[in-house]
Amino acid sequence: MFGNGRQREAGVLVEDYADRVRTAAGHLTRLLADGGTRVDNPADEPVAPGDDRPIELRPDAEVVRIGSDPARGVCTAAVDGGSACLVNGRSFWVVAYRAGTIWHRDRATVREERDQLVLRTLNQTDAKAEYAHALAAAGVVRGRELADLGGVVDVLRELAEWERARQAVAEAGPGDLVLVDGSLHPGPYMPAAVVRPVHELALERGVDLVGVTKASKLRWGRYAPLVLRVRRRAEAEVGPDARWLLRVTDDADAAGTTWRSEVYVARLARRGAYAFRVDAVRGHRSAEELFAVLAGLSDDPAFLGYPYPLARVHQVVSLPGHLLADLRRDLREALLREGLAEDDVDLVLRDFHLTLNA
Amino acid sequence: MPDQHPGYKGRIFGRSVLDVRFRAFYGEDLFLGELLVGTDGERGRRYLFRVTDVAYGSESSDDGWAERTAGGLMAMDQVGEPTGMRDVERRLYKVAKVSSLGYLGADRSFHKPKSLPAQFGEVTAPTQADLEFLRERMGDVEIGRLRSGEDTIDLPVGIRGETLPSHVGVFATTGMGKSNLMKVLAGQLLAAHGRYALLLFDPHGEYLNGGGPPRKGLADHPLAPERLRVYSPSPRPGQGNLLRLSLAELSVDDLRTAWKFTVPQSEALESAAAHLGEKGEWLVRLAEEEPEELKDGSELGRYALATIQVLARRAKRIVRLPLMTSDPSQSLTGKVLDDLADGKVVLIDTSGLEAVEETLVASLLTRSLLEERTDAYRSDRERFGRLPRTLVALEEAQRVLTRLDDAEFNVFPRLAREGRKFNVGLCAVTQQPKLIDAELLSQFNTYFVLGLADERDRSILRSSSKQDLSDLGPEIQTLMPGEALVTNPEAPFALPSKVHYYEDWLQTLPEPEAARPRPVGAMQGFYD
Repeated sequence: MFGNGRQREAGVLVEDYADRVRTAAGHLTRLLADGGTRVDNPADEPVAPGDDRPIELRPDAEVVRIGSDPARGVCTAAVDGGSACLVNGRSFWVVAYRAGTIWHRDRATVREERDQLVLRTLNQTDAKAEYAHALAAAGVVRGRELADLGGVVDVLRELAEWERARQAVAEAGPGDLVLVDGSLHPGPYMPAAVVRPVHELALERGVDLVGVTKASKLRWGRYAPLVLRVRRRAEAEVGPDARWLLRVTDDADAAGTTWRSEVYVARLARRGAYAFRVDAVRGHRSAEELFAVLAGLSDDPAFLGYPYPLARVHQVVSLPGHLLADLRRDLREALLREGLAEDDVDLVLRDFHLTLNA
Repeated sequence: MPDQHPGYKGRIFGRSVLDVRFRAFYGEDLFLGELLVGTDGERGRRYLFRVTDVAYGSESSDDGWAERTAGGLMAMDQVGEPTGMRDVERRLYKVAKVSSLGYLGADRSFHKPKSLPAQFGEVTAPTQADLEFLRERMGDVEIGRLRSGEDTIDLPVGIRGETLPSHVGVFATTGMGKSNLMKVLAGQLLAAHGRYALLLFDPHGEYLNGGGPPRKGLADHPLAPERLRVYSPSPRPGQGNLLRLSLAELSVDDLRTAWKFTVPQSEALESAAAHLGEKGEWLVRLAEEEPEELKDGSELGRYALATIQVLARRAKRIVRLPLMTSDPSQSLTGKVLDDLADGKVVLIDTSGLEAVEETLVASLLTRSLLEERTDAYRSDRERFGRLPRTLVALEEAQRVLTRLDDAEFNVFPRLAREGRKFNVGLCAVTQQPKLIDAELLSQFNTYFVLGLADERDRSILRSSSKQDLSDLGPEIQTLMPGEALVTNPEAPFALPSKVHYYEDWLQTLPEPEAARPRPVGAMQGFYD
């Protein structure tokens, strides 16, 4: 369409470009200033059990200052997973994932465990079967079908993570912590039947089970990011250099159920750049005590305000670029050994978007 | 830091034959100049390395990680919250850059570094056996112990006395240990039983007595009574001979070495020496007669009065020096040369003299020594062969070694260029090697490099040394007092060393054997 660079520039620099940018900025600013009280429950990030109805966050919900507790002798397990889609053929996928656990005590990681890398080639039918199989392995019957089969790797990884979380809770002693990357709540493809037994096991063993969501989609009123709004309010109330928590859910949200997972927004270091959604199934600690321990774990200068064990386990299980490059190379060689012509291998492995974007 | 076997330092991961890199645990305390060994199990070789730089490393692939983490620490500092890295040894490490000095083959022979050690080979501290090959290359003039970083290894470092005529340079900023090194060197030559001689000029009066308690000097050396000779214009009772030099011995060249003369002044000086009388009379006349009279009544008439006045002023200064005498029979030059021929350490105390006067004295004595040895070489090879190798040590040597071209009249460049042939070496002591002519520096086979603050000084040494010092700039810069690098063609590489502390070293010396009492009646009949 565009014959040369000048024409392409002309295509981008439309006359009302500046107006459009101003309009976008104004819209975002109004969103952030929204004064509502309703916390929306995105379908993929629920805050309440069972459904995705919104909850009310009272305007007077208290921002509570928290301390920092080094929690000497307390063991913290952290669970995370890493995954990647090596080949996306739209009708088939080659996916890789793994989960792992690290154990941290007295400022040092004392044990690291990592599952062997799982490599699966899935087509539409395989993906559904694999999902059902993974749920069955967790003792759960599939309730709904995956809508986006391309995202099957994320679901498989999450299931592996929950299995790791279950094992960690089972191994942890009373007063220990098990940290999970992400929400503790069920999602559209993560049945409550997978999650709830882990919560119950934690309660039974007196273990604090905590989920930290790095990028929460929870929203306030009309799509204002909840964490940002809470942080702004907290800074106004307790100052910019404070650790604090604000409980988003209250006991009424789980009234009449055995559901004990609470949702908070918290800032875990006085100079941390971020606040996070934190879910907690508390063992024996009060919220203030638990968050003080979390704050004590969040003082590593490289990850200020984020529990260090979660950062560590992320590094243990993530699939770095060089590993993925190795996997793709091995896959290519295996395909050639299988007798596939080189041109066909290129077609299978090439993503035309990369060609377009080059 | 995980438990490893003692001496374990890390693993090689790169990079080339002359630029090897290894990874070390974060807690490993690596020092510039530290000597290490890289094990090549594949070929049964042990590579000797010298640490030339140490850098930070982290498991993070993000370039900005360390900077951000420092910011995190500072942020916590600002709010008064103590913190620190967790899992430090897992996340941080060190990368050491080492130069390969060579390798020991399976037969323990040392080879120059021409091949790459095995990748991922283990790096360890050297064992005694790894360095044993050095022992036979260390000479009989020991100045200290081998140093590895900040540790001292029980292996002597020194030079062969035979190489003294190949000239020695001692380079250091003030306070880095020049004087101590010179005392140790002189002390070793005192103990050499006459194999070597040393003519040592002492402009600061610190070599004889160390400059005062608790320092010690050459006078405290147990062999001083036997082998040290001291000459001073004003000797303390019992501590030396009165230095007397004859005006007749001074040459035009000595004056030109001590002072800068313009071309007309130089020509007038030559004329004065040629026409105003022999055996020093020309100097006396220049000093005592009025310049106007000299201009009107002598061969100096063709020179400007101002030129003659300059010569007259300088001649007056020389003639009035208490150590100069117009009576040639009182000169002690001959005695100094005899002492040197006898393998003594001769200390000339010039501390009471001004710089030009000191240069004048040094020039006269050095020239006399060189002429004597040249004569012996040319006329009596047998006698020449018996003369000890002799070193002339001069402080602030840059004053007289600025230009090689000065060798035409200046004895010191001439000594640097020709002395080796006549078994006389120059020991140039300076804190400003950059002021010494590069070609002259290249004549020096042995360098003792102590701490040097000025990059230009380090640079000229790197370019002129007999060993490759190109990677050692940071190490020279960070040398502590008493730490030195010794380069010498005999050594396989620039040797890091810790110079003996003279006062401590004296304590280790054995007392000389007491003179045996004469047998009764031995002198009978001599004084009848």
